[in-house]
Amino acid sequence: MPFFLSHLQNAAVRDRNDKRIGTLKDLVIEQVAAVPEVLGLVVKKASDLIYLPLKDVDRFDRQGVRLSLEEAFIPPLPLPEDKVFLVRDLLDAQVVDINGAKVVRVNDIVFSQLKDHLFVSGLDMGIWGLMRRMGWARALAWFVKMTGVKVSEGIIPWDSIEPIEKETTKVRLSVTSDRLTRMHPADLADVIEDMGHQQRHRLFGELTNPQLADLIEESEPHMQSSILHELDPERAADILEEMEPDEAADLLGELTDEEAQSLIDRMDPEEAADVQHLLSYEEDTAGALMTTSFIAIDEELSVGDAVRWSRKELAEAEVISYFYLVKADGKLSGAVSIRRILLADAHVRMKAIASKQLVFAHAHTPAKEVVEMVTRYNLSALPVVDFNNHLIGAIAVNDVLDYLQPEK
Amino acid sequence: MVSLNPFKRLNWRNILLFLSVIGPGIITAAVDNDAGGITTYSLAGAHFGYGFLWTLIPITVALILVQEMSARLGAVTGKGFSDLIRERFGVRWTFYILLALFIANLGNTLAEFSGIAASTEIFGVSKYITVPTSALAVWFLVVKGSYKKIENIFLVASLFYATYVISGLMASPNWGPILKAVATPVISFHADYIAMLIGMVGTTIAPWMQFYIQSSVSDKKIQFKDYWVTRWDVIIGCLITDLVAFFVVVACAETIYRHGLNIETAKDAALALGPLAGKWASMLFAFGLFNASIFAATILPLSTTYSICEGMGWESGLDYSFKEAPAFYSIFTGIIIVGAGLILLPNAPLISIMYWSQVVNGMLLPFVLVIILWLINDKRLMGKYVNGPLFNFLTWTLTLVMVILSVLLVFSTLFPHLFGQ
Repeated sequence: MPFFLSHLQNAAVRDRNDKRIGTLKDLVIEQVAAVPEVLGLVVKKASDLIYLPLKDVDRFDRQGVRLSLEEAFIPPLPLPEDKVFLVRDLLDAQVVDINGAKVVRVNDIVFSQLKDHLFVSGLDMGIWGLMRRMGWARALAWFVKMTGVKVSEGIIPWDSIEPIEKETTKVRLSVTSDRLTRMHPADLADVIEDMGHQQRHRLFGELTNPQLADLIEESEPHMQSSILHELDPERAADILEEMEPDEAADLLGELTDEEAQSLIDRMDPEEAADVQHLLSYEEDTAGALMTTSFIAIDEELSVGDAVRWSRKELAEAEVISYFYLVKADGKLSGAVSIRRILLADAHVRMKAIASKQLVFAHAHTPAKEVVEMVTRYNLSALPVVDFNNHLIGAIAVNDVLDYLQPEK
Repeated sequence: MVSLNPFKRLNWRNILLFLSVIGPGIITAAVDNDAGGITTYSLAGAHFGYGFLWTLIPITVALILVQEMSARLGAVTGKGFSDLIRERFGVRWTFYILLALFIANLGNTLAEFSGIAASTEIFGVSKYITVPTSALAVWFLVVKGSYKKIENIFLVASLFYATYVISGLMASPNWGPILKAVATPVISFHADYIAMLIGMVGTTIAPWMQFYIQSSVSDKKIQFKDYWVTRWDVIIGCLITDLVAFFVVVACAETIYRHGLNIETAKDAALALGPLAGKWASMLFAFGLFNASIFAATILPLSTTYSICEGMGWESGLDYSFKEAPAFYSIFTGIIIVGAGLILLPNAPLISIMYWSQVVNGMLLPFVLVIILWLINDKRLMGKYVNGPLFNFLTWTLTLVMVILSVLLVFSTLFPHLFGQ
């Protein structure tokens, strides 16, 4: 039978002779543990707070706590300030529900007892927990019985939560945000929206650069630039290098020219040049949407050579559904889908298997027309040329999805 | 402390920054001049002439002090006020404070819809048409729109407060006596005067404003180095608010007070302006009232809902569907339905609802102010951005005055004959 912190809070603490010593104020757990064990109690005795290790407790029940000591033998122990105090640090704090990918508040804490040990087994985020805290659990039980309304339990097991420390106490609740860093970047992006500045700052410190780059790509635009502001410029530049050039360019476009330039200056020159080039296109045009991370191949190459030649780029490129063919002078001449390449003989020339109709956009083509082309011809990517018909980029269909969704 | 001098930093970066950061301060301040505010200022001008003009200066200073602290809490912590209350004071305090906020704001929303009804009836349209239409419009704007868009619409709507300035000017004010009245504090211990003073302060500094500005500042994810912009947003907003209040008082003082007429509501004021200052002054005044009411009828329910859901740990935000955030949508929709619905009920006890919400507002404010001061002086929370000694002296003094006024407000509402009316 599980029991709850709300049952213990302010319960009477008695010694072995049933003499009342004080009231239970808090429970102390180990900082980090897969299943956190309760180490001891904080008891308010007269006007002092004293610490009692769990080994001195005889039993817990709804009536309160009974110790196995006499009052006179209670050792004078200092409060273990470096540990986590459940009421002070965890109750009413926010935690990340890893499976639900959302930030919730702790209404109550669930314990399970195993022989002489007491463990935190889960956290209660639901209405029941709330009502227990308010002292209205009975009223709710009565209401449920009378009306038959279902009020679901909101208990989340300990192993699927990641606590976030309270803004007001800031006791570090975990050593690494291991569970957070393993979340899908899109889920994590939702979660950080609800965190305070300090908490986000700590999390960023624990993410690797590629992880942070993924997180930024998945975040809302206003969040993206704010994350970038929170990083020191060197790291921000490293992260921009990790990002796809078009995403990096979009993000830099949100900043003031001055800020963007200072970050570009810190980037690797090659990556910086790509990004800067993309930045020069006007917003909502093919040029601004495109990426420079795609595969361009001499049209005269054989299929086998083309694949061999582009293997390294294939591993990193953003647009991989087509190989785009160029003439010796860099002009776009055709597109070959990956499917055709896989089906073709290795010695056939690329030129020979290119699609008959070539659909492409100019750098200044408005985003709306790009979307129309992509949907009408059912393409997964679209090449982009400059005014000399030189191939300069490609647009992946997922980069135009935003224009497809109806405005919120 | 962050420097307040904007001029040495007037360059393109800062202008862009300002445009991206402004909003919370100006919008909060604009909503402050809602139906209740306009009514109070009209009555102050109509009954006391220039007698209350001088109070606008200390009220503005007080408003700036309080709003700046709330904005700072939001910028430094990145969290809402109800989040911080929950983490610091636990669930019980949070619950009762949010319950009080809910009741107070439900009453305020009701007042906004009655402002909509009153202002549109001046233009000859029945409230049975305009109130449901406005309620639906507000609901759709919020639920189907995006916050960014709403914010932009409201920044534009803030401009319409200029109608009050114009109708004030149309009343051809005498600037000499006005300026003298602004600079000369006169306190009367006459019961009516005290009651009006409490009303002026109570309507200008209301608890929802601290919740709202902190949430919207923290939502903007402003970096602290850019906080000085938010501070200007707050200051400019408060100045505009009280400038509008000033012109409402002047318009009513120059016309209604001078001719010795008696009015009870903002609608009376708008109608009375017609023969005295011209039809256009009357129309502008009524349009201003409509704008203010519908603006506040949108922000108040939304802000209340956000505060409650944040503090109780329920999913909140317009990005969620009804299924994901049932409490959020239910509370928001409920406030609008009740607020607009009661106006249309023939025998609804409107007066006593607004009366009780006034009492709750007055009881809540001292708690809110003390909690703000408590939190903002917490070094663990605010680091080096805690209040300085002078700021603390000013704000604790202000809080004390506000506590006294709030207690008086509550008592005078509960016992209307306290001041011998």
